[in-house]
Amino acid sequence: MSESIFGQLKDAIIGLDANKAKEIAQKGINDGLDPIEMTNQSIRAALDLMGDRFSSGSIFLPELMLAAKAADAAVVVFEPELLKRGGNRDQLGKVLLLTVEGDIHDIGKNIVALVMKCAGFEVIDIGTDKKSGEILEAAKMHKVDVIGLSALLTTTMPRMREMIDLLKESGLRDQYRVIVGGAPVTKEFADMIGADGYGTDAIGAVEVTRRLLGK
Amino acid sequence: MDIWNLKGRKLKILEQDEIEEIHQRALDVLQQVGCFFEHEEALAIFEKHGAIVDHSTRIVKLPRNMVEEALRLCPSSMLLAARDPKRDIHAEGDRVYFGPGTLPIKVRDLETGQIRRGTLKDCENFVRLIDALEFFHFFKGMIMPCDVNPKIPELFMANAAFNNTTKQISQNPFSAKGAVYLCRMGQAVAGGEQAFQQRPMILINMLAVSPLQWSRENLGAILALARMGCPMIIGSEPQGGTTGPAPLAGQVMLNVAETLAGITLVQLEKPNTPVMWGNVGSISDMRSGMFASGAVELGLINTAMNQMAKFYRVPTYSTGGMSDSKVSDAQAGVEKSLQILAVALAGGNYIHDAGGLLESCLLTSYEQYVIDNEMLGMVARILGGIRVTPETLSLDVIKEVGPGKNFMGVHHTLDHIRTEHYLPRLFDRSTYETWETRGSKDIRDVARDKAREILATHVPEPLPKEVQEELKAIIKEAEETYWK
Repeated sequence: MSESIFGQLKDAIIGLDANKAKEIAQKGINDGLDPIEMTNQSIRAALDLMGDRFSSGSIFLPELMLAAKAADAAVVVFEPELLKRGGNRDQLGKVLLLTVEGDIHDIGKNIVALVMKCAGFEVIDIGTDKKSGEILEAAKMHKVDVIGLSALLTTTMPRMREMIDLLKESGLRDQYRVIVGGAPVTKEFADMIGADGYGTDAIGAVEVTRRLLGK
Repeated sequence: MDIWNLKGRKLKILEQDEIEEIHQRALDVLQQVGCFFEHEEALAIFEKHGAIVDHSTRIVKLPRNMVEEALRLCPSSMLLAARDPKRDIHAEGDRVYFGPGTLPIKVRDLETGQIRRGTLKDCENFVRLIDALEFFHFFKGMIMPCDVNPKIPELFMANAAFNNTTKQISQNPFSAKGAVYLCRMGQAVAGGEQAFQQRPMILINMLAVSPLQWSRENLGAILALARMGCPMIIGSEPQGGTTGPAPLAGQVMLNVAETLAGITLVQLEKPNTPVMWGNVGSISDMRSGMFASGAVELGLINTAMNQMAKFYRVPTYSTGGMSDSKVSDAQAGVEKSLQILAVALAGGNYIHDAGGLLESCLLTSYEQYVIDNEMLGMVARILGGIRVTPETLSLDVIKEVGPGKNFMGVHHTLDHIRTEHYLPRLFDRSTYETWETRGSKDIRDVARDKAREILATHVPEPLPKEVQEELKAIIKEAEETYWK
């Protein structure tokens, strides 16, 4: 019985069916299944599979996004039960994502957030046009491991250096790994401003984050 | 994208009054200048129907009404049958199909990169490649083999074609008798003469020799094929500046006149024979006199010729996608895509030379076909146009998403990306770093790998054993009877 619920939940996510995922997740809870086990065996497995398919080019962003939505629908059902049990979801690490001050372009950041979530990171996306001070507050509040800065405009790229400088001035540079990305950003730029990593695209961003966190 | 249901987008270079004018001036040429027909029987047919024939010069002056009547007898639609009926060609209206061509003698070896003469093995390999490349609809002999009986290479080429693809086949003959044997091979594949009438398995092309000459061999072939009910391409290939006038209007008009002369003979001999209107003309490069196969004017000429064919309601054999470059480089990419785009938008029904050709049609390469397949896929997408419906206008989904969010996570996006967006099979859209990580491969290397993969793995549906034997027997008979 439980075997089949694990399988059904995985299938619902791969089938991009959020309603069904929610329904099966609820059924699992009602049947007394362990939400942590369901998360690992069904949701993680489904998202890993979709992530692999995405990396290999056999599915596209909408499938990945809809799978993530279906996964979220199940997680929402698990959350109260998880809290009740005091358990934590098993995550690879916590990543703060945002677009820097002066820039409201967010599709690249959103894609990175999506692919990171699917890869098993907890993603805190605080949006666009974020000042360095706000970013630092958010990083402290959410206790993140990684800060991901995005910019599309060459004119807003200097904000990335300012963020890193702020971390240094605050004596917090070694508390966080900083990754940068966006169409005009290059590896040379990332090295020059003292970032820890740079991803050429969303898949690259996940790879570099994994590497930085030793996962 | 339904690749078997492509339609042109009515690209127009000529206005209606210009079409009429070209028609009238072409009739003037046929009536006042006439056309050379190097064939007694053809002269007799014209004479019998009231043309003015000078037997000493073999010039035929065709009355206007004779030509216009012949045009009325041409079917406006042609079925060109493929071994796989799903791959049949329905040449009519604005339907568009792509195929390779035509007769290069040299090939860039896939492994060594060296330029060498084509062989029968290349013929077979190229057919298999085309059988696998999805945006080529039909096959037309792609390389001259140097290792077969040099008097009848067309029969060996056709044999390689029939054995290695289920796509529709077209072949150039090199003599009147060769044309007849080609038709017999088509009949064998169709399952006999009767079956061939319903499902003709080969299309044979016949071109005038510009300016205004039809050769003995081609006329012999045209008359024999008309009697056999074999679909034919009737056209010409004037080259502006050498074998045709330099102005494109004059060149188009000459091409029309030469084509009309051939079509008239076919319809006089056997009314309602399906003929395809042949557009092959380009210009000569006046610095060398060479055929400028990659000339941008070819796209213009072909577009105009397609408008003429549609005015006459005759299916069209078109040309586009060639290059004079020696390698698969930027010149090749630009020349090919400009030509093919114009001709496809103009609704050329049976567009040959749509891939593979380099160096004034003398050279071909495996990788170039793979690259051009991608080009044809992109052109096919352009032909698909923009569908405007309530669903595609997406008002509901725009309301749902609203300002500041995105369209990635809605089912509507998923439902439409695969039909609305062309996803490259070959071309690379990754970032520089990703491309570098994957080995910094030039698109030619990627295409070579793809060609190797296809040749290593693709097995076309074989011909029935007895048909294979029948084809061999026809070639044997041809060799023993005429070409020992």
